[in-house]
Amino acid sequence: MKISYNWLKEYISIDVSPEEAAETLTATGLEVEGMERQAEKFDNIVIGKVLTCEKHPNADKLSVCTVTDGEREYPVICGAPNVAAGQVVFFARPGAVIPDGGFKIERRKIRGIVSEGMICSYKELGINDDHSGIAVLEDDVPVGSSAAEYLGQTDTVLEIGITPNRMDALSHVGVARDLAAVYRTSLTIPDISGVPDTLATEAQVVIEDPDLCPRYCAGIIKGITVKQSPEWLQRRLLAAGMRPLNNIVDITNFVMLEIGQPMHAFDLAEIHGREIHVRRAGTEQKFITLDEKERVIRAETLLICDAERPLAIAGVMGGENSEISDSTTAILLESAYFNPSSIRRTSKYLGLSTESSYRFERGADPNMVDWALKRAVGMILELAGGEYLGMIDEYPVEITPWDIDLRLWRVERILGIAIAEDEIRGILERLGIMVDNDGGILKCTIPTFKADVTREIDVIEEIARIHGYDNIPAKEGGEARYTGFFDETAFQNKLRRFLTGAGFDETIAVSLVTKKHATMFSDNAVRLLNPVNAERPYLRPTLAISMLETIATNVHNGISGLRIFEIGHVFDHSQDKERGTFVRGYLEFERLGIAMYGEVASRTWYAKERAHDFFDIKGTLTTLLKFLHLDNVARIHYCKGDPLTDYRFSVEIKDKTAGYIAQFGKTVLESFDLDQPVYYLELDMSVLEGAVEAGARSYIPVSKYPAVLRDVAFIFNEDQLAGEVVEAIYQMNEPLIRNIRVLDVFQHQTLGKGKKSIAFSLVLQADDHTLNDDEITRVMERVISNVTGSFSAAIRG
Amino acid sequence: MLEEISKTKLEIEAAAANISSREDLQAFRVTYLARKGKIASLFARLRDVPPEQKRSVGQELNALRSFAEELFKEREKHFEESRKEKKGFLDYTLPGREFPLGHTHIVSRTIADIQSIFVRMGFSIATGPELESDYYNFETLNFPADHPARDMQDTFFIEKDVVLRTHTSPVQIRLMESRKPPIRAIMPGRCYRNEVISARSHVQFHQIEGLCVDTRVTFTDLKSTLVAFAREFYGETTAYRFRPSYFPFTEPSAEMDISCFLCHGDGCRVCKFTGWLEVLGCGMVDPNVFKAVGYDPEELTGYAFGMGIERTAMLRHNIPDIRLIFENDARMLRQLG
Ligand SMILES: [Zn+2]
Repeated sequence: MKISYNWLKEYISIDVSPEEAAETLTATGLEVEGMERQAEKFDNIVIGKVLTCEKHPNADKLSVCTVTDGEREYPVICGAPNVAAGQVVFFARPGAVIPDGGFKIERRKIRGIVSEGMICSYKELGINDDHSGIAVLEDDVPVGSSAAEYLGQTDTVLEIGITPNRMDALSHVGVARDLAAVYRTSLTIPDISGVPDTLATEAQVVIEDPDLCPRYCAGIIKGITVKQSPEWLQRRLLAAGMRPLNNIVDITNFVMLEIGQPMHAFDLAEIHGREIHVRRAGTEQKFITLDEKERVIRAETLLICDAERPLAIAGVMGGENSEISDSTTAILLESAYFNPSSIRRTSKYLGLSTESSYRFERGADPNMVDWALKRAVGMILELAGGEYLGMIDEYPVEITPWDIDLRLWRVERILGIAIAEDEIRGILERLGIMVDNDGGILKCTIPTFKADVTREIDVIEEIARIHGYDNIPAKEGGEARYTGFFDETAFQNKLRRFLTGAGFDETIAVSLVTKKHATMFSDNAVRLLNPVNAERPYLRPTLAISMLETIATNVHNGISGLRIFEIGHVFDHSQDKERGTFVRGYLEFERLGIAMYGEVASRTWYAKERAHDFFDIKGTLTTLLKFLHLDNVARIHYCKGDPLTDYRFSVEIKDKTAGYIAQFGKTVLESFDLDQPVYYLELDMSVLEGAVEAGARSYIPVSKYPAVLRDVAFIFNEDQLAGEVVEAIYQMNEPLIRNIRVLDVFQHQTLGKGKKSIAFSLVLQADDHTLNDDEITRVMERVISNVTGSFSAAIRG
Repeated sequence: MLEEISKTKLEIEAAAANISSREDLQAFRVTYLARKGKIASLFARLRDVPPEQKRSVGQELNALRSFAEELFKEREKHFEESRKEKKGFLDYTLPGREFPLGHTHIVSRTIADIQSIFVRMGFSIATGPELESDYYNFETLNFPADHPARDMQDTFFIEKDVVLRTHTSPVQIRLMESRKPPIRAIMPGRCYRNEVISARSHVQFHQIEGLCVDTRVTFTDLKSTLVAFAREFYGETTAYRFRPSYFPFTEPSAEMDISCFLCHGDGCRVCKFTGWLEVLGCGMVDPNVFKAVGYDPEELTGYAFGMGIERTAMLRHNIPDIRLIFENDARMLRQLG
């Protein structure tokens, strides 16, 4: 909201600079987000006098002039037809920036002759559209004085950010009230007593839906002249960011900006039956607003109608049919109070937010309605002439100030400091809150313009913000009670440390994904009702989408290989509509995704280059499981028939499905524009965390006796899985076997067709003695007979 | 003759000192010690020496030869040793075998940095869902339906009463519902806003909120906690100000500004020439929020605060565009992690 500082000072007499006032306002909660000093635009533009003026020797339409600013004479080339010696003009010296167009004045040559300035037209100064020639001023304007001053461009405009709770500050008087409270002074409100309380009989007002319109005032004026507003009024509106139209509309806008009450003027001649009906539309219908747009009105929308037809969308915008025109001679002036929620719904539905709806939906002051009407009437009579025929004030649902008890001790209880009662009373009274002490309790009567102050805590906030947050100290010392400690991100961070330590980079991608990818990975993906980006309307059902996108980005950016992980949430519709993880009908899980592609390492002097393969992702999984001490309770199963992957293995931990590892298939890769293998792992964080044993692990004594290493190789059929053999050896439950490693796997013609060799290395150890040869031989023989017996295998000599 | 011998001795001394390679060593031998070398030619001239001097000149010549031979052996030995050393020669300039280096994402790192400060002040850490009901995201947080406060946060809807959380504040509610006061916790997490993606705003961002509820918590506690945080996070000399603001779930509400650390308060583009940076929102927990979770606002008071992680990270690390943060270009990840 734009506040003119000059205008503001009509209601409050304080002797502070606009900069200081801005700081004060920010400190009370009316944040000044920007300041515009009008005069700045006119720096180096002064009143000058043309001393000489001759034709340019090399150009017909140009004149060579000498202009003085009272201190120095400047050679100036001027193209205006009306320039002449002796004129008093607006003169832009070097350094000036012409307001219209931003052209900077510098010394330069025009057709061979030096020019050191510019004589300006009104258009060039941004004052109006007059570009017929340079502006010629009265002879007695002092040469050398400021152009800004002459033009009345001396205001400072404050741009204030208004939070939704400050409906009381949506006007110049409202803003002045906060300043008055801080500077301990009072407000000067314009006198309206000159407008009599005549009851108008020319028209009738019927409020049919008082729930949406508790109060409606109408004033009738005849014999007015619609014309341009005087300059001072135009200047006020322009400073506040509104375009002047004509005196009637300008006055309604002026009063709104002054006191916060939106108003509307109807052409009385267009009010059929001279009746105003305030009612819901009743049926859906079309209506043309005064911005010449046809709008569809819903049945519950509140309208201002005459005997036959709608004239305005209440509180939002008037209709074209009853707009003030140059030929209007009689008007009905509306000042009303509408239900904030109703106006907000209408404004939202129509996608139409106006200065009027903005104020009504936040809450105007129902008891300022008649004051505003009289204020406008007074101004109209003065600026447009005419005869006031009185007003009608329908107020079926009276809204009166309300009382709040403020317990003084409660102020200290919330703010942590004691503020003297006198100080509190002073602050509240200057804000318009009446205060009465009733035995330690302040009875506060809240004016109806402070619709947001409804509870004791709101009154405390009013006190705190005027007292000044900076005057409430930070507490020194003091002990906080022990609250116990928990960290719901601890497991995340444990994995994060492990994975970054293991060389994985963490990524965080956008949770919103394309329809193509969401539906590729899930039949139950969740769609947004109102996506901002139509291309990404779905919530990711798997981290795989994010990670593949990240990989695609990096491949595109020329990165030759990557190992990344992301910890994030994934979403799905729940099969059972009545159930969900947090919100009924929806599943939401935290997952860990790990992906790798391309080079593990580039070639270097000590090693060859190597590309990622399946055993990198598998090894990542098994190392991670070891880190979490879950390696003995996890199983990896091959999954059949999956259109998305070349192969896929599910991971089970303690008999719960925890996730999978996979290499994505061509269809998936192509949909991300990828043409190289991507290895992927996704695990559910809560399954993982749930499986990890809580509490401290107990020490198990390590053997003091030496371990013995024995290698053994078998010849198997070539489709034999090494894992099955290892598993079978462990299943023997031989206590001396402590570890089994796969040493090598190879095929060779000497082994026979369709055969392969797998060699294992076994670690044997006892806890209570050194193994002797007999024991070792016994164990190895058991292993050999078990393997050759369980599989189609032969010992390799 | 004797003169010539002592001259040659000096020459040999200089030549030996200049031996710096095996080639030099060889040349030394050829020049002085070989059969046709300088010393041999001096011996040849012994014949012409008068007999009475022959003895003394012969002694001098023998001494010269020994001198040259010794120098040669010494230098030769030196080269032998350095060759032995060369067998175990270590080119320490070759790159070492590094292990792969992983990096934490800048968002996680910023959260961790902030968390560690609050943890030391006795705050726990809580998390919650990103897909939320209207009840948790708005209603319990004192956002009435049809209230302009709802315009403050552009919301993604899944259905009428189901949204993507617009802030981490619902975790405050879930926390108060599931635990008993006193409570002191911070809540990091991902949030969503239905905004057009640009350099300054994105459809998703991360927030960290804090909540403290106890029987005697006041605005002065709020200030001391946040001032301590700001000093630790932004630097000991950071100036700050609190100014009134509005959040539906706190009353009184405030914004905390810190002195711009880029221009030190002189005014720059980042602080919009105000010298201040808006870094967090805060306030005393609104009694309606306590009522919504069944706490007695007469007995308990509390404060809450919240800040945006991306904005914080962008300011701290001079990141010009929020989109870079979610693009995950490996080069950027490795720079900042
Ligand atoms: Zn700055």
